[in-house]
Amino acid sequence: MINPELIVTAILNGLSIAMTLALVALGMGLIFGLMHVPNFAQGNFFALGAYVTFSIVVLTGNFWLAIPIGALCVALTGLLFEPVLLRRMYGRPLPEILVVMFGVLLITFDAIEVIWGSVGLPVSPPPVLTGSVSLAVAEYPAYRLFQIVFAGIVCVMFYVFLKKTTLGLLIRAGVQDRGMIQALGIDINKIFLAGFCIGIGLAGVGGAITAPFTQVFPLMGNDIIIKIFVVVVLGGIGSFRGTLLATFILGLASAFSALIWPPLSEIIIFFIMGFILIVRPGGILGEGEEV
Amino acid sequence: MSDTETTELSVKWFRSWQGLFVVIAFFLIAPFFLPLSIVSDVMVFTMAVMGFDLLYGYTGFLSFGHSAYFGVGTYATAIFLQSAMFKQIPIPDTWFWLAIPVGIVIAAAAGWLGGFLTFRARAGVYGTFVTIAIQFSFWWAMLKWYWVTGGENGIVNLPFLVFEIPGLATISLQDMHSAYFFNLLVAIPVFFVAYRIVHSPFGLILRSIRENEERVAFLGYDVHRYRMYSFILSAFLCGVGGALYVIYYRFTGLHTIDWLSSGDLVIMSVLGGSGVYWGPIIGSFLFIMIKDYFSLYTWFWRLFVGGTAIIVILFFRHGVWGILEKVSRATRIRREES
Repeated sequence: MINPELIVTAILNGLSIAMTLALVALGMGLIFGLMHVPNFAQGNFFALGAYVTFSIVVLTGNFWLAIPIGALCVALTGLLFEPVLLRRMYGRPLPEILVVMFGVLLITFDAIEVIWGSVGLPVSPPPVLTGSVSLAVAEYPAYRLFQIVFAGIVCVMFYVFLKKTTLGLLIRAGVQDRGMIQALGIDINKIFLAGFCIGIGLAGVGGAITAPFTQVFPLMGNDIIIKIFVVVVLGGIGSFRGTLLATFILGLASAFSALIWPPLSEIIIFFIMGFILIVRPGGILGEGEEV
Repeated sequence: MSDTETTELSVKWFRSWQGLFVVIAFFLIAPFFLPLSIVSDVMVFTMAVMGFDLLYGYTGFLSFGHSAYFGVGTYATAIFLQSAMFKQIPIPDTWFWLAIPVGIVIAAAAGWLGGFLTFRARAGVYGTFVTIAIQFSFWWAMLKWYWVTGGENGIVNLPFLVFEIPGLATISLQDMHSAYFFNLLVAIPVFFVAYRIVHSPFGLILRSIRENEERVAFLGYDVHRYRMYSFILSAFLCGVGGALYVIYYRFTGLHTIDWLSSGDLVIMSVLGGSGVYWGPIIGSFLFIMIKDYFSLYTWFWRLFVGGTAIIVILFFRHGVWGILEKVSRATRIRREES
């Protein structure tokens, strides 16, 4: 009954789900850790990345150009949202921030529909990645392998950026003690702006690399943000290790449950969330939070 | 809610019966000069927003998945009505009203489950995320359980209620107006109960949990238990809203249990003013007007709803209620000076 081909395929599917979730969730964690703003609209920035990718592919036919431009365009919208809206919200009670972010979600959702319409749009992957790769026991679509590897590289780059660069250092300092970093004469608003742009840019990258394999449709942001909430509840918001661990558990669980009964893959993550909340209310890693 | 002055003023207003009176009077008079479907929507959503507000405005916990309980209320009522219609539940036509209490109780039970999981999560923003995840699971269940819930089509063509007064008459609620006034008859006691809840010592404990949770715990109250009560009661009120929705429209669908309609509840609440007894009626009335107006002219009414939410939070933190109060305070001061 146990078929190695199915198992390998399921593991790779799980990884590909997990890596996309990880990109979006890490961006959300960065924004929350730095500014204490739970970015509800993160899913729509993910969708925006996919849509820009679609447009670039249609215009230039070059997918490799589309990924960085998609991510960059999403990051640049941060220049609009952060100074105009979010900056007024720092220090306000959390529920008020959530309501404003929900407003942003509605606006970005409709803006996408206004620009691109509500019909699903196909994006064709570059010719190099259209076929399938034969691994030892299974054939696997080349594009999804690329997706796993590319998202992994972006995650590592993000980690290195946080730990090794000056801006990353400033961001981590801002997460730990906002007042102290201001006392050192550093403009915290610039750090916040950079953090927000990078955070939504990560979602944009996730959207850009997801575009070719699902269709691009307005609700794709809604679909992913709900999973992100589960990731965040399990892994802890702003915790690098926790986020990755949670996305791997959820991605593999949803890939393997698809083997048993396909509709289950959509809902299994909520069962896992319920179960973990009952046995470990503090999330997978417990209460301790790190960034 | 840091603006304590506003809170104190509201409390003084609360003591009077004006809030309850205005709410009931509105629903009695409004059908004569507004389209009935709008008034009915306002009533149903006022109920649901009151439920939401019990948790958000009074207890200080923001649930972003509260239309789950509204939706469970609609589905439970609708499924009961449907099975009764097909005689899967053997009751006579005149007993179809049982669907209402059944819907409400099931919604409250769902609220118990939801509250249990929600308050297991860590403090802060996590609970809110859990409410959304729970909402989504309910939505998914209603979508996939299609042989009962109709999936994307929802449950349509439900029977209307029939009442028999022995030896006198048989009343059927076929007409929209009679359905509305029957709903109002159900709603008035519930509005009264909601009024009593928020003005009881119990309501005071909820409000003190909002202001300072630790201190309430120091005083010997079990904060978790009171939060659970608040959650279940709010699911109960949402369930009443859901049941009445089905009685009026005689259908239900996925839009009642959608995540975005939870957001609608949140926006209605902040629009009217949260933590105020008649905030929900102002908020739901304005929201439904805005939505109706913009959906006449454009498909993209969400743009305007989202914009309204942002503007309200940025510039009028206490909603319309806050504006009214500011005006009334200003006139009072002016009167005292002259």
